[in-house]
Amino acid sequence: MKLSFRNRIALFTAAATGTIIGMVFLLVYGVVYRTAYKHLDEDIQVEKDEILSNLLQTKDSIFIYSMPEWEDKEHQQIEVNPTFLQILDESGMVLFRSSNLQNDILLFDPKLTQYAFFNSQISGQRIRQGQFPIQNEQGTVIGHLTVGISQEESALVLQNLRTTLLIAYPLLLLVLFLSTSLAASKGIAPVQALIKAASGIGGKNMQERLPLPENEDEIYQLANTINELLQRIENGMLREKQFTADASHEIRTPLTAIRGTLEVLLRKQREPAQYEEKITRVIAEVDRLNGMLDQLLQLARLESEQVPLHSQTVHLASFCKTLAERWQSGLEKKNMQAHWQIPSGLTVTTDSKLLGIVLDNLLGNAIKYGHAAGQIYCTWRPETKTLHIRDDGPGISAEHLMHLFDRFYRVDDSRSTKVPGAGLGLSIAKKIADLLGIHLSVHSEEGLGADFVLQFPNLPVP
Amino acid sequence: MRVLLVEDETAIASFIAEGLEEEGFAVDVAHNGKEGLRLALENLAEYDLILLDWMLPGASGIEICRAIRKEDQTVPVIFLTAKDTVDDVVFGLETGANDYLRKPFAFEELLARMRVLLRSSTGEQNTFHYADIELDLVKHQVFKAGAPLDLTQKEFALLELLLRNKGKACRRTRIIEKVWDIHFDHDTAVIDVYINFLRKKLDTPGQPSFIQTLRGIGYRVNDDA
Repeated sequence: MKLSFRNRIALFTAAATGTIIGMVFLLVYGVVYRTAYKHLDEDIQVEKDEILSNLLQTKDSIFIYSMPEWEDKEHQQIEVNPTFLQILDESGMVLFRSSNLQNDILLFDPKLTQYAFFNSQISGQRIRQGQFPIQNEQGTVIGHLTVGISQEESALVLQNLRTTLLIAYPLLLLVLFLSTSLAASKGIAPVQALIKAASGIGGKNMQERLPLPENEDEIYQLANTINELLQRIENGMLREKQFTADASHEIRTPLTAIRGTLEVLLRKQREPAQYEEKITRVIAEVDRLNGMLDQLLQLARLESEQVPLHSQTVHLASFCKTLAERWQSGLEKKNMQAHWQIPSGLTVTTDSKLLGIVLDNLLGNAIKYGHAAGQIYCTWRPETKTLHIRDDGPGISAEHLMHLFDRFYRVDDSRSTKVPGAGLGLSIAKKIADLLGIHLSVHSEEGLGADFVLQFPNLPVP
Repeated sequence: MRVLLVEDETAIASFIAEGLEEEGFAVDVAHNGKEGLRLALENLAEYDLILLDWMLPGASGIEICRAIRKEDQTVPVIFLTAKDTVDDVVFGLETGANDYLRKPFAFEELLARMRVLLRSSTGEQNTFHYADIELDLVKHQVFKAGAPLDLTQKEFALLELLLRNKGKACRRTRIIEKVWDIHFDHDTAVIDVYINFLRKKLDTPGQPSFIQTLRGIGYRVNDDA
């Protein structure tokens, strides 16, 4: 059976409280029961003592003194508080019985050697009776005295108590269950309000948030936590939307140029030189498109984290030297110079191919954005165990710095062809660095160049 | 017809400008938002149509469009943009643009949409006549006594301007503004050269020229007699 949360709370509470109440009821009944019979038994004892004082037991004979009391009303009739008496000798013969017993014989258990109390019935009346052995001077049992008194009153009280408790118990449980269920539903009403509000927030109204209660309680914390979660989801959605918009812009722009250039070219007959010029331009656009798609695919692969890592020992100095040779023509084109200061014995354990992509991107970036005839410093700092790639270019202002590793982020904001590239290189470098466990950060101030810092993990102490 | 094109992608700007010039438009190109805003506000009256990219460095196409609409409610504006969601299109049109073309677009479609906007901003006329001369804007063709004639872009644009303003004087400065683009060095002697080309191709031999010279002012094509 599937119970709602409030009914589960109500059921648990009712079960726990019901057990306790049940035990209390049993205890109450037990105490009342014991007390009632204790009184009856005491009355019987008193009666017994009085009778025994009127008996003479000697050898094997029991003499009964005549007592005015024998003729008391309580021994004559059976309607109001009767007391029944019966004296038997050892063989079970009746020596005496009170007149109210008529033909009924009080129950007698000959096996009993000690005194005992038990319940029985006479003429439809519930009675409590005590059976006592009668002993002579030597302590030999020579007969039995049985005293019976009506327990109708006590039985009635006990029966009433039992009935009351048995009726009250389920009623109490029901009331307990219902009231707890009501209280629980009141208690979780704010949660239900939250559920309703939260389920109303979706793609179209993602900027909406749950109302926070004034009281800073658990509900407040829950709402706050959900709101923070929603904020993260919204940020993610915005990032994805921005990425899609940027990617579509970056792909459509060269496509537009290619289509338009060819279309205008085809509108009429032209000189061969014109065809050559336009087609060369189109090829350049196709190359640009292709380069960007390569980067996008690389990013997609990195983000799906399906890049196998082949860690090996890399001699950083010689590794950077081969890298530098690759970039020599690029440096010369801008009349720039690169300075390498990396100790020759230094090794790091990492994937050399991926590290190459990171350094390629950082170096390419430095060349792209550095001033013509500027300097690039690639330095190892032993005290911090960091590799720095620093240019003396225009630097990056603080507002751009925080977005620098975002996909498609371009500092010049122009999306123009002044500085080529789609703004993917640095985010690729960052992704790969994360994958390699290298902490890549950037420090820069406007006008003071940019310093990209690679912090390698688990370096042995030099 | 003079058009302002604001587009930061040189590859796109150059093919649009070349294609439009071949169709007889004078095209001014601005390569960033600031320049576009400046050109639009300085020479707004001279432009018959404005083509705007959306994402531009300096000032966005939206900002430029708003600035234009503050000054001039009628000049047709077309957005050319890679932004392609319905929200973007609606937002662009609500800013005051007359039309919206998503990149990549067909150049023919751009031309067709420009002609629709130019026609509605200058009246419903597609053809202009003088005597047996007919200029068809849709076909981009001039006929003399029913026979098609080959005209260069500048000749076509010049004839269109004169026929559009039939009976009115076309001042030399206005002709330069409307037929030649902003980079032209304002040597108005070129107008006389092109007027002569038109006269050679279109005048009926033995009759006075259909273009009248207004000395020191400009040229005029008279109303039909």
